[in-house]
Amino acid sequence: MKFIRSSIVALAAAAGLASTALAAEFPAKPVTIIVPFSAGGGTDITTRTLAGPMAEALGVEIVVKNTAGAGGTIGAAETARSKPNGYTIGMMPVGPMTTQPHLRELPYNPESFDYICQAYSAPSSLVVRKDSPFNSLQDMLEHAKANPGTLNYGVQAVGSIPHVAGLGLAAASGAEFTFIPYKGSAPTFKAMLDGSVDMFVAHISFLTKNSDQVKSLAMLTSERVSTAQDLPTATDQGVPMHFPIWGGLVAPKGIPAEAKAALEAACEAGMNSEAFSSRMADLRMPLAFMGSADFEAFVNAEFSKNDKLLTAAGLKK
Amino acid sequence: MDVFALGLDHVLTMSALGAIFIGTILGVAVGVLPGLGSVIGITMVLPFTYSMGQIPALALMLGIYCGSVYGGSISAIVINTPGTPQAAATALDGFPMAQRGDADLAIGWATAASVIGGLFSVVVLIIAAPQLAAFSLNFTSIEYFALGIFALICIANVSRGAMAKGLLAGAIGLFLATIGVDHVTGDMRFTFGSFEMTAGISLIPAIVGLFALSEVFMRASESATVKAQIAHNVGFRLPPFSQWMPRLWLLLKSCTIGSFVGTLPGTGAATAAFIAYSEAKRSAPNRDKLGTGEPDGLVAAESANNAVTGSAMVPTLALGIPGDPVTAVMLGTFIVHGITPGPRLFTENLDLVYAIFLILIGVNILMFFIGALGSQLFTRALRMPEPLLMTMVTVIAIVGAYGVRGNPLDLITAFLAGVGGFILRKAGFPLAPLVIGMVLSQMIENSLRQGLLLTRGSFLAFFERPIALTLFILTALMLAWPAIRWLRARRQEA
Amino acid sequence: MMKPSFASLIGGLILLITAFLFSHTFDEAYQTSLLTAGRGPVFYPRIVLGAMGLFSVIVIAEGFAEETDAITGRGVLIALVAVALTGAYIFSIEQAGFVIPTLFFTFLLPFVLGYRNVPIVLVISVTYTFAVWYVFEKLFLIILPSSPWFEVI
Repeated sequence: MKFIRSSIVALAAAAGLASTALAAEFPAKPVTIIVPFSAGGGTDITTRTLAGPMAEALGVEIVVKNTAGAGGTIGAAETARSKPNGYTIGMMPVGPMTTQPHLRELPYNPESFDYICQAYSAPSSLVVRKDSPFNSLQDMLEHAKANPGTLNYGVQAVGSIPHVAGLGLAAASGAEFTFIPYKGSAPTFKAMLDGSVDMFVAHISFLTKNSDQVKSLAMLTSERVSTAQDLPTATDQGVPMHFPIWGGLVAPKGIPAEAKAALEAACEAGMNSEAFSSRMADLRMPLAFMGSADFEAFVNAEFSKNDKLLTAAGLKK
Repeated sequence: MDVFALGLDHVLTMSALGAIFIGTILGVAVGVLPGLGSVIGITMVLPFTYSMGQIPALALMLGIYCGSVYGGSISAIVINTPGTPQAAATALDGFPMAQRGDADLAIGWATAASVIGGLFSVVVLIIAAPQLAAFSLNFTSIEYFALGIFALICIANVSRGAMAKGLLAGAIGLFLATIGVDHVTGDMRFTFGSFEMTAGISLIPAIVGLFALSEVFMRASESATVKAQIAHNVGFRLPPFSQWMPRLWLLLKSCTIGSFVGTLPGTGAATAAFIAYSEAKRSAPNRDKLGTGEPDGLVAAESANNAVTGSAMVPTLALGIPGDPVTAVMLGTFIVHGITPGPRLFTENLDLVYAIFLILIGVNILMFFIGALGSQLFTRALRMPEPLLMTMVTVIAIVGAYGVRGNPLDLITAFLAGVGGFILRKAGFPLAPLVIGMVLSQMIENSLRQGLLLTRGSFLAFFERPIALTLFILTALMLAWPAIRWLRARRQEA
Repeated sequence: MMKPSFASLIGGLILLITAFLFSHTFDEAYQTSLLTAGRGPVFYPRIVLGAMGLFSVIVIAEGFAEETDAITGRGVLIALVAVALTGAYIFSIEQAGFVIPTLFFTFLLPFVLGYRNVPIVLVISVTYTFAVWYVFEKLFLIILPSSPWFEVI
């Protein structure tokens, strides 16, 4: 316990110094980042990796708080309704920001937030088992069209981007799949290894980590991914698709401009830090910083794009 | 052997040994505190693991993992509140034993059984990890459904003397877990338009309320009546070897159940403990006394839930599939440190695999000493004036309920569960079935509906799968067992 | 005519709730949902609610054969006070943060439960409250609710 305590004392001391030196300015006390998923998941680990270098840039401690539940909407709602002073912000991924609000009534929408930065954007990939007979998207689609409804498509969560991507693929190619929802990515992966499902859509980092056991049929991006030039995209193979799995820092609407600027700068510095960028490189994730204004425009565009997709798929309520 | 020496080298460093030590202590601490558990413990140290070396980081996490699964049993015994859901079955016999004044002995049984279970699973991991991982892939949703139904029998087994009430409590537990998101269709169920309800009823606040808070209310309702003073033994008492002799077979079976269930991702230590407890109820030497403070129950539950810890590493290491949130975090740490779990790990990074084995062995042995020392402290808590102890338990339980996911709704869940638990206990309902129902419900429902999707809607196809069919038959046999035993006894008499 | 026991009353209450929830599963909201393999979101809850209904009927019936448990009036009163105090405590944590309500709660609950040594309760109340706060907030880094009036607590 000693090393934990001593490092916390050091952090607290640093925080104390910073707050006395710049008493009036932001930040004067620790910043809390709400992660809307439980500890240990991809969003959580990315946030924690970023929190260290970001705290260094800000000069105060950053506390990561996991408020999980209901597909990330509980944490998003908590972020939206916390005090707009810049001390409580949230790491909000694509799902709770742009798909969940279309699926049911929520106490927030993209208008409820101020945007700080995009922190990551992982290209997604349609993956199959390494020993699968399919080697390209076309192989799989031909089989699917010849045997409608026989291929099982694993879904990590209903209405999530991987699900939406599958619905998009079915619509664009005219193939039929049986969608089988699991609870999260680990059970979905397990279901593919045990033969229950034939394919699912995953993060590029998943593909990197499990390259022994899975292969990519197609990256679901409009262009080849800078960190995975060797992998053909769906667009290359005649089915134009673009489904990045992204997330970024947002604050409740109406935070002071100086707080927003400080957080945006700290986010950029944190993302460019060695600790963060080397970890992203290990996972073959391209660095995807986007500043406040760009990120806000991007989220709004994604929001209406996913609205159309979910409506077309009949999932929208 | 060179690889083994290399593995040993990894572990015999100051930083790795220090991490084992700190991790295990911290693990036992978060395990003991109701509400907090393995996941919170791992999350707490997560920021530090990034800057640590790979082996110390793993040692820290494994220490917390094993320590917390064990630690939960101590609060189950001392204050009738499982510190973690994994220890729910431990309270059934541990607490009655403590009420007789033998908390020191109960902790002794639980500690020894935990350590043996933990070590057993390490041996399993060493001998057969790749084979077990391959076997676990025979379990699709259909087999998970069959296993869930099999585990559900435990409800009947802990409800003896109040069967209908126990079954009703179990059904209530099954129902409570359906509130919130339906994972198969994405619909919200039974939320009645409340956004807060969409998060569902979280297991840990419910357990904290059902056990800790209802215990406080129970004692409040009894505080007017004068009770006989119980002389609480303080310290740590190991049961003598002669007491173990008749229970060796039970111990071995429970360890095996735990190790096997642990290899199936997404099942968990609580399920393993329920199954082992059911088996103890069927065949343990003192099965008729189970639930009244009988060591058999402690041995079964604690050896099974700790046997999960080692074998949960099987799918994590050999397939790269984490079995629970804890191993998921560990998997993340592997990647941070540039190790890729998967089939190749056992050929390419064998030294690392050996280091993990050694760490697990170290953690389990250390756990024994921490338990022995900690027991001095925990059993003393029982000598505190009861109102003070109960006050402290209430506060820590409420904070623990809040700490899990920082959702204020969880505080209300804990409170309502406390009041509900109090009323049910006053009406003579056993509460353990409710927890069993809540733990198993999602696994049963999701796997049933996923299975029906896989078979394109045919339930009959479930019986065409050999493993599932075997489990269904075992379930039927277990349920019919009392009748079978009665028939056999009658035939012998005749 | 036998008098129903407390267990029967609770069984009856559960039966009523079950009946209400079962009828709720026929709500329109669940019918429009995307069906999967013919089984929608209320397929499994209906099975469970059916079991609840069946078992609660048995519990009610059994309850008529039971002795009515002797719950002393004083005990119930003390328990009700403890429940009310805990409820108030939980409610005020959200409004006034962790520390202040906990100080009051740890001071009051021992009295309700029958321990009346004021100096000891006072000492324990103060040290325990701050010890728990310190352990969670500073060692475990689990941020507890704070009051709107002070920076730290």
